[in-house]
Amino acid sequence: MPDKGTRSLCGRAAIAAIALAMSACGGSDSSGDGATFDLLPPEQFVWGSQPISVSPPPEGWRRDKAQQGGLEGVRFIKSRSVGEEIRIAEHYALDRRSRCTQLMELMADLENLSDQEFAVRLQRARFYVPEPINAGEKRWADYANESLDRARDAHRNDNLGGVRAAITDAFEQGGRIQYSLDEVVDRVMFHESQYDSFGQVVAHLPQDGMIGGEPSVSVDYTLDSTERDIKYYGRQAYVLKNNRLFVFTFHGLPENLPLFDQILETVTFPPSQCVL
Amino acid sequence: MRALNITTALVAISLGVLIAGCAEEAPEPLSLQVGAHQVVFDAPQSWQHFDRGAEQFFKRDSDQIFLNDAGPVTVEGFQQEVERAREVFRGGSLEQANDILNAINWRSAFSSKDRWDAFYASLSQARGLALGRDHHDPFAVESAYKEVLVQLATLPDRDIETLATEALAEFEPADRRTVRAQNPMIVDGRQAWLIESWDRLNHIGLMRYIFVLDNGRFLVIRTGLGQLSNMEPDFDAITTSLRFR
Repeated sequence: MPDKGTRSLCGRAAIAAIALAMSACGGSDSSGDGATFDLLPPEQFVWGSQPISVSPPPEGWRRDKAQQGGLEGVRFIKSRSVGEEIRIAEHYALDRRSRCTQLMELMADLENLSDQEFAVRLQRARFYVPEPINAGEKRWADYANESLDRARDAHRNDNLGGVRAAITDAFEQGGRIQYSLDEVVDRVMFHESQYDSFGQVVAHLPQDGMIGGEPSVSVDYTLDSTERDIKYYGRQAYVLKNNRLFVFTFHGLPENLPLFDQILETVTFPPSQCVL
Repeated sequence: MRALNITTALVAISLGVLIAGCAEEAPEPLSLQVGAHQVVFDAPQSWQHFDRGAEQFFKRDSDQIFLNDAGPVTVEGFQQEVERAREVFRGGSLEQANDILNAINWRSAFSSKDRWDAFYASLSQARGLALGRDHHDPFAVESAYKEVLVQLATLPDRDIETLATEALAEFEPADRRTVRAQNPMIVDGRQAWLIESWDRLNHIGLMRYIFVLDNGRFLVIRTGLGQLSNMEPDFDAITTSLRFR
């Protein structure tokens, strides 16, 4: 993956190229005169344990579920279009590495669990990192699991206070696991091979940015569709918030790229009840 | 003078026709037994109605409106149901009494496992399970019913929001849908709780539930499939006109 300086430089060049292409194609006037789209009021989506708030596109974009390729989220498909789509989704694999929800629920239900139920719930709360994303994840996961071992021992001795203290400790150890965007984004970053069966794809180098107050990386591409004889413009942007990876995708005609950018400007991340 | 009489007659006839027309348009209130709830309300016009006992179902094309008896949810409701079961047992049918007890969803009313275990032991005796159903001791069962009622009386009351949220799980999968909005309401002078839910991923498929607390039990007025905006006038008409008998 190129370094940040190269990314930024190439990114600017890519933006300039797309802007040039858009003006050459007679793109939307709205992008040139700074006009804005009438987005719908912001909605808060909760797909994992980190909520995201975003204003959906205006009327004329129908909704569907985004539930493929390890993603969960929402798709907005432009009605009577050439297959234009805006997708906002989360890679749920990262959310599921966290044991925050399981630990919080275990703590909340502690007095209501039989010995067998406690054993099952404790097992579900254990951290599982067969392929650690970084060295810290393995270390803190091991510490957290050791705390859960102490919770198990305390429960065998009917020491609920000890169980609580050990679970709290596991929660804190798990909270020290931190990923960076660079560590996780390469695994899911857009690649030309995703679309090459539909036509000729040209992907530009990734560029840095900010979405919802967090650092982001995005990739622009063009697709010369052999099926429809249309040149599509695409952008995929990635942002990591609270160890959860969100993906924002545009695939369509250049005149709607400013709409996508306007939607991205509305993104905020409300506090998560489950910060690990 | 004659012209005046004709005019008067025409006005009278017109008024008569008008009144008759209005009288025809006025909907007949529908009286229904929804499980344990006896209710009367303005039935939605040109909807099909299916009587399924504890669930009353109205259908118009793809639109659906339901009324459900969601059973006892408060301590008062539990006590009444246990007393009803006891009367059935006293009438000679332990099995039918047990069916009533088995249908009650009361585990979450107990705040700790210890309290639930103690209650469950009494409940098992009330079901005649201590010595096997064929050899139950009627005096032991009667005594266990008394103990069950005593233990129920010590349970704390829970707020309607908690009760409605729990009851919602009986109607839709919590992992696929999420709450969009919720608000307190009053329906026929009774405490009620409105919940609107939609698909967790894309926020479509908006559904509305109103949980009305009547005599310790929930009556649920809810939409099913279809566009909520299309059903809203009829749904609102049911809710505002609904009276318990």
